[in-house]
Amino acid sequence: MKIIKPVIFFIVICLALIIEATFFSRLKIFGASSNIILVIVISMSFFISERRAFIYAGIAGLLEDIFIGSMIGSNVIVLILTVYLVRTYSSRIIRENIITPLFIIFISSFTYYVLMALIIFIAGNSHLLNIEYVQNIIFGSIYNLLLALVIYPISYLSLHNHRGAN
Amino acid sequence: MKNNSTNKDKRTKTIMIVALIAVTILIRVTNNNTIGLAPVESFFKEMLYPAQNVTNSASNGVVSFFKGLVDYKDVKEENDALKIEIADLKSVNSELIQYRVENENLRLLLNIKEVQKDLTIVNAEVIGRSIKDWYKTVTINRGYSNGIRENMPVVNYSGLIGRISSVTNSTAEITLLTDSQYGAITGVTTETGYPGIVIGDETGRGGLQMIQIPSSANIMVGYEVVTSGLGDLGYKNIKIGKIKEIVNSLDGLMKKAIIEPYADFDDLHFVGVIIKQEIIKEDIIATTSEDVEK
Repeated sequence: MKIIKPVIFFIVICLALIIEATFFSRLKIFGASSNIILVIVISMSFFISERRAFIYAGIAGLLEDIFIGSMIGSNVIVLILTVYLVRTYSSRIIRENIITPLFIIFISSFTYYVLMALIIFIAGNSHLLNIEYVQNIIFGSIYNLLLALVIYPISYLSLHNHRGAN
Repeated sequence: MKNNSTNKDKRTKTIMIVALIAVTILIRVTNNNTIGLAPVESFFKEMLYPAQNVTNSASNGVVSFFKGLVDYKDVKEENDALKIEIADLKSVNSELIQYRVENENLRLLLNIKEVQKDLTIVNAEVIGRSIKDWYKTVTINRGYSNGIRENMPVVNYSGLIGRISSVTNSTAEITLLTDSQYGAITGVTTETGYPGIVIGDETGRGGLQMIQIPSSANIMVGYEVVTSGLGDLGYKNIKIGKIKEIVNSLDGLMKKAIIEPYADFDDLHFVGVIIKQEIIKEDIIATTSEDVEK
């Protein structure tokens, strides 16, 4: 069972990458794209153990980095840090009440883009931090919130019974 | 017992710090790796290719359906405008055929045998776009097995759109001209032949600009910009766009031209990769427009 779960997660992330590259990359909101991987990882992190949430964030970040093919490791760091912040500051949320988790997903999207900006700057790619990036921080977070309306309930239905299981 | 726990905490912290340093180094190392793919990346992309191809076809249908609903009112107007454009292009085309006859006859008079530069183009479908907006790339369904290599120019019916930045066996990634760092190519104005570097603008919103132009350079709004053939792209006269604005630098020494690209970088479906440009030596002497058309 312990082997099957990461395999399923691997497949889910691969499918999410494909859907993001082929479908959601063409459906932009005010020029901003979504980040399904982030929404999936954060949604799942509410229902699994802290250790597993970090591992899954690392795997998802690595797959995303390999798919993009540049600055490998950036998504690993940023996703793990985002999950860490979510776990630290949202340990007492009521998971059954959808409003609070959605609000946390919105804030964590915002945090993700800010942390990524920091990594981009450290990596010496400050030319990427332009008006479009700022636009992405705001509208991208809203877009992720809309996606979370679908992804969070799916995570809840499929994972809330397994909470605490390692 | 407490000592054991403290040691464990220390060890975890050390591991985390080491991992963080290692990943930071990895980011720096792979940051400049803009051309080419590591074997792991190549394998992963190749593995996802079949599913990506299928998903792209499905998403094409969904996106077209919604786009059709939104754009329905504009379709008739667009259709009428296209009919007029086709009629105009037909008259321009017949005029160009006459010029071609004249040109070839003059070449024969001057004893120039190299009359045509033939382009070998591989057509491909766009099957994916970058999942991060700050990378201006798209993925196509043709790769190494189709003769595609890194740095080859990519065009669509409107003009140049970018160059190949990485290739797997059955897919290739195109870095678009609008990328403000790696999309840079050398261009010239058709009217005056003045050179400059064409690159994506700083806003990242898909505009182009021609930089490194001295303030005394003879360029004007409305001039057409094409590839110069210099640098690693190596292909001449591929259309890029038209100059829509000229901006002088604050020190007054240089200026830059804002270019309206011919290609719509947000609406790429089919593209052509120029894999070869060779000079064809023609033996047939063309003397009339009928000969040229044949």
